Amino acid sequence: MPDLSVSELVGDMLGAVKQSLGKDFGKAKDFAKPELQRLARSLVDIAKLVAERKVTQQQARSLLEIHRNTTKVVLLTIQGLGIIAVENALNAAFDVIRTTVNRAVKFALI
Amino acid sequence: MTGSMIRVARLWAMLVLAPALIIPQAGCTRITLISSYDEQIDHSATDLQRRMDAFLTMLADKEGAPQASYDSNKTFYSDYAVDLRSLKVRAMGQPKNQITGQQLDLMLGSLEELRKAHQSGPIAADAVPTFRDLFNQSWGAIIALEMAKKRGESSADK
Repeated sequence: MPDLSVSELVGDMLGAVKQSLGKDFGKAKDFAKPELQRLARSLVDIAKLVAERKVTQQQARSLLEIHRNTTKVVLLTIQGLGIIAVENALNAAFDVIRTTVNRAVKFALI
Repeated sequence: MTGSMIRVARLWAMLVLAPALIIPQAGCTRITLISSYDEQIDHSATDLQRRMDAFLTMLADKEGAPQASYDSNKTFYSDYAVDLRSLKVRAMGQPKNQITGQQLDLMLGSLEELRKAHQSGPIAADAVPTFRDLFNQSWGAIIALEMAKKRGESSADK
């Protein structure tokens, strides 16, 4: 059986993790920025509606509550995209182990 | 053939076949931290987004008319809540799907806030775009996460 180099394996795993995270966290960032800008604009719109008395007090309270809920929904999506990024990174590292070990033992051990 | 010979033959067959059955499964091992994509949740969320957008647009179009009053639209809120709860039941039936479950709870909260706002008085056409944008943004975020659950595909590519 050929030698398995721990340092090479760790290096390859880290490379796979870095590449995977770089790609997926970029997606989360791309999602987050315009959504947070949109939330900021909505807050300005709510303040304007209140200032111009276009909404009742209850409607102003409800709008703020819906805004808070929307912010939480957006943040939960960002959290989910982060979890998917970590999942993909773990699987990329696992793929490196699988490929290296299976090649070393010359059959599909893992 | 005696019983013991049959048992030995069975044992050999199992030993020969086992790797063929196990190794392909081992080769497919994948760590999962979040639920898989659910087409039904994707479609239902899209339908609920469209219905809310159409409802709020109607409130703006019919501003001041009886069709836009709270009393004329009470059933919209109860029907919409039923569909939201049904979607949540489906989401919670999937393992590792707590994030989507929490998001649907927040949508139920937003629906109740809209109902209270409407009950307090007619919603002005000028206020409708803000309500509509917030609901559309929430549904968009829920759908974006569901799409991202399609493993091996980029949600940004959709």
